[in-house]
Amino acid sequence: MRIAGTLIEDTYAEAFTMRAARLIITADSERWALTAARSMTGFATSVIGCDCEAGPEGPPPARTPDGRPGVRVLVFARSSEILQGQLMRRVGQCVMTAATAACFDDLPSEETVRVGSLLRFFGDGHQGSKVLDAALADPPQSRERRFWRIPVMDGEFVVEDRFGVRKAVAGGNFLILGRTPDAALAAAERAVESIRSIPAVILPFPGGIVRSGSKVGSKYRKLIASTNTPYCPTLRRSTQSALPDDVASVLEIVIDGLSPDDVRRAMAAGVRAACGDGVVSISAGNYGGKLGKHLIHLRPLFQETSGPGPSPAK
Amino acid sequence: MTTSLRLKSRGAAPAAPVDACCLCPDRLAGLPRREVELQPIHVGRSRVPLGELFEVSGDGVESIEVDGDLASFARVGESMSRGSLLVRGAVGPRAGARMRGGTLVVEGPAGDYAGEGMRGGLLRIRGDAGDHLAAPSPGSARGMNRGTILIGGSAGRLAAMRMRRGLIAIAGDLGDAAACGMLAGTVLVFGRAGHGAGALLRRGTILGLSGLDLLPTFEPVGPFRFPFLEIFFDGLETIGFPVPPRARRAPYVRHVGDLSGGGVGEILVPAVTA
Repeated sequence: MRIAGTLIEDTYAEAFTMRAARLIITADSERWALTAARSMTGFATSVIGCDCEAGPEGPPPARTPDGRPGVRVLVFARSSEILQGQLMRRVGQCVMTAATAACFDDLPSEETVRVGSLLRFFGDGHQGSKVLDAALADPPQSRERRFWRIPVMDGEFVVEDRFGVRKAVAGGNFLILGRTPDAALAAAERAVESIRSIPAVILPFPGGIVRSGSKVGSKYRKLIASTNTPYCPTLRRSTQSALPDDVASVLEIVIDGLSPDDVRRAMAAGVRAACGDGVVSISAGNYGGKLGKHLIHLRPLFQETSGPGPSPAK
Repeated sequence: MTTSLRLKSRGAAPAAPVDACCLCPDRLAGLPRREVELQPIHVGRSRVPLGELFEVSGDGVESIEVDGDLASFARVGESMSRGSLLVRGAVGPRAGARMRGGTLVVEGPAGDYAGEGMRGGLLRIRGDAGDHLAAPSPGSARGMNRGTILIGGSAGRLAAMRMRRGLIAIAGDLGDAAACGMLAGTVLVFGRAGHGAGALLRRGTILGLSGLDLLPTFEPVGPFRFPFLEIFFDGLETIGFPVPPRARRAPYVRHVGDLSGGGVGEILVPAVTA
């Protein structure tokens, strides 16, 4: 199978089940909402070393709970307990500190974690809460929503008491094998641009692109992961290589999403955008199907979908 | 499916006061029509079957609709916890008293003590409400504790006394001495509030969009913009309760008090009218 002259390898990406939360960060301007969002999703590329994976989700929400400009953020972690800890620290240190920002839940779920419920103590007894009845929520919800008003120097920081948590998918991926480093990077940038407009997914790595993909294990006993030697072009002659002779650079796109369908949609859009001149083939990373629950085969993506049509994750 | 009750003597309700606590989804929903007709209702000192006062049709599982002027009917919807009750007409005192859930909609005015001791659910009165809206149950230290009350018209005196939690929104004016001893919760008044609002306020929020005569024991700070108000305004508009545009994203002066009792509640007044 080829798309725009690029070979689509007959392989699959192996992705994992994680717990995810979805936030809306608002502020008086889009600039400050983005500032808060980028700050709280910093150092969140991989659960291997960062304890969570996070990033702004595009496109921006049509409506926000307080009517101000807002940004959606997705956060993924191995468990709800870890997710709660990450949210508390990140919202507390990066959103509460951002001028005019507020933070709301955007993932209605029976399972919830405490965020505002823990941050409220920063108010030193002067905090207060407001409860919105379930009947007044849009869309209608099964439980009331509580918001904490924490007095801060520019007025009030409003944060929701609890945030919904759901099972989600992390580690959807594809590899771009380019004839030259410039060609691989240009293809990856096109892929990132096309995925950014898809809801319910994030690209947790810097600029959405991974240059140092990893494999499981290492010659060093204490390392759980090490460089992906079969895909390192400079090691082509000194180790078993998966690279054809005409490939000089490989970049990986890693996608986390609220559902397997969301990840598939993003992978399809990204691969389509990446294919073209200078891109020899598209592959994907997996562990022989032994670790991850979600196996996303590349070729069927282009038999099922005709394009990167978005659909809501809720 | 809905159970419908139509008052037989249209325009002329029974002369004696009626205790209508049986008009409640918890008691009527799911019953076949014949059993609904046999439910007792107190008229003065007598007990009569519902079928004597109402024409009954349908056998709704969760939904009851009542047609007629029930201005002399007290305790309509009392203690309801589920389902919906719609009254196309007026209701008498204590409508929705001790509600715990469900939805009670009154398309006319309501008498005194509507929502007394409310603990949940939605009470919507499209006309005016009388005095003592959302009052504490007799002998109770706390008033309304959860739930939402929406008044499409105006409300009388002594509303929201010792309110503990929940939301009251009034499209029109509010009488004197509102929210006396309020512990928490939110009262939004889009018309004008009367004298003495918030006396002995402990915590909680009163919004007086068209202004109010503030007690001298409240100290102003601000103005500020409050994002949490937009959350409530959006919620009200979601349920079809219009919010005046001038309330939206406006700066408010925050009056903190009641300082005479060490309270830290707030009365919000638009910065333009403050």
